[in-house]
Amino acid sequence: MKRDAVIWAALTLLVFTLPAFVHSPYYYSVLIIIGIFGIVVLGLTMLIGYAGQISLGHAGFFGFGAYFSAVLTTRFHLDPWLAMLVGLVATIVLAFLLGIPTLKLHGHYLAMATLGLGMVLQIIFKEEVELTGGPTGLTDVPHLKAFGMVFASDQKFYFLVWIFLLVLYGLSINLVHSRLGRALRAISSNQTAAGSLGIPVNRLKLLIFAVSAGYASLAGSLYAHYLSFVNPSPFGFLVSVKLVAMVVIGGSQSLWGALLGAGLLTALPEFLAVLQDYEMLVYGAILIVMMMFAPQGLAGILAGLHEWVKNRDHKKNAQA
Amino acid sequence: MLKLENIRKSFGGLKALDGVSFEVNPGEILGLIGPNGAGKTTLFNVVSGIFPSDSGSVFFQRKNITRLPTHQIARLGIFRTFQNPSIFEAMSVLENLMVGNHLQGRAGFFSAIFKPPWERKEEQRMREQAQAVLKGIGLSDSADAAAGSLPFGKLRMLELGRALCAEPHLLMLDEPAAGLNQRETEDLTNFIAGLRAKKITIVVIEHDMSLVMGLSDRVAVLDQGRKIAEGAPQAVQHNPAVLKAYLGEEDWIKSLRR
Repeated sequence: MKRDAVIWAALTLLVFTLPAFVHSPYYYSVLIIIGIFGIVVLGLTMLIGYAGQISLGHAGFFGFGAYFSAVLTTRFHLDPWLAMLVGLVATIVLAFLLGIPTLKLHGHYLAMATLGLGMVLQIIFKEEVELTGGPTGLTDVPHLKAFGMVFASDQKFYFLVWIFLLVLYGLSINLVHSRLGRALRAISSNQTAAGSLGIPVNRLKLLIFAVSAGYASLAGSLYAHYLSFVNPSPFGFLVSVKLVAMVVIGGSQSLWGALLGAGLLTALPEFLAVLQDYEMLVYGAILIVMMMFAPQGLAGILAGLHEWVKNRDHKKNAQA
Repeated sequence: MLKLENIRKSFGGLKALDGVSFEVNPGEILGLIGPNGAGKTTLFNVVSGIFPSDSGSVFFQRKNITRLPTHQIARLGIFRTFQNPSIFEAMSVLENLMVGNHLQGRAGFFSAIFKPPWERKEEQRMREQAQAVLKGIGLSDSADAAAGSLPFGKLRMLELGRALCAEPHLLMLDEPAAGLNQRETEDLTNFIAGLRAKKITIVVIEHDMSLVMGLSDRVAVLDQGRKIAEGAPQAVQHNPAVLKAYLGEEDWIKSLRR
């Protein structure tokens, strides 16, 4: 808890000092995308790392939120915040509908069900032309406004996204260090033992699945308002895989590790343009290597380094 | 307190439990023995709801719990340990115990994320409760160690402590002394004997005869899915059916006659 609180405080400090050094809109746009994926990955980490379930359809929930915001604000002229809320509720309902039958089964049925759902959603985004604008999508999604401020510039939107992220990160830290967080970790470690201690295993898995879908939906809404335009392409299967890769590479047992993963996998392709054609190949290779040599992800490697430095200093002191 | 009526459970063609009935009285320690494959662990799994029985009924405090899911059975106060200690390896020792007292808390999702003062108090209370148990099982020094790093004997104690955190009315121990050395077994025996004072009813599966015979008020013997004997430890030790069930396992006969 303490360590997480310190990391949260450090990140908050970083978020508010960074604008002193960053001036190019391009860097802001990268930071915004990192923040948006960071929100999705926070939820997904709780699902994968704490509840031991895999979703291969989180890009679908991400898109569901984005389309709700886009459709409700452009076609029905709903207030953007209200649209975001409606999208959130709708996504959570969808997650429950999918999760109730599949989470009762042992094994990786959730992965299969979400894989299917993600594909179905993308087809809907493409084919429901009347509503979603089809493959060309929807334009002129209005900007978000609050307290007389319009979040139009990259810098303003940067603050909005990262404040969202900091709040959700703080709530997630609370959750994983609570009675329910311990119960979730118990479930991912040994379901039978967890159940025998009175933990309602299926209900908690369902809860965390719905929460993670909700995070994705909020991120999707922010995404739609940031670009002020949506089309089906960022919500496909490959993005779902990329999201899982962020979690695994960062370290699925740690929330800050997952944020690191989101940062790395968003920034790398931006700066290494060569990667673009081979993006999936590279992720695949990184995933395999991480699984084999560092199943705790980057967070695990860093924690190990920290331990190693501490021990080394300890030895030095002992010798002196 | 616990009453089993004609429990049957098959796995494919294997009749693991073939019409078992018996009762556990409040406050007693019942030893459950029998050769390997007799159906002892299956019986625990049926009572705790891990595998539902094919037929027959389980009653706990007169309530029919035969078809209840595992976590609801736990809610009635029935807790257990496993043959292979099923601790949560990646969690700390203290956290393992705090999963044990899950049912002592009530904080749900919203109180978990917003942490109102009462939730903090509840966390504090659960932590103190777990620390008290931690002291009782002699693991205070390892509170923050990863549970998976403990030696085997301590894993057994941790698992037992975790079940105690739940404040059980009925505690089912599945071979608690398996894999322990002489000294650890003695410590464990004393510890379990100490639970009698807390009015916890205990059913214990064990192959260590000195432990079973020393602790139990009554002993029930299973063989090939059937109960073949039940009664005071002394009487069971000389029961011909029991001796026959163990025939061929000479060590067993020796240990029974000891």
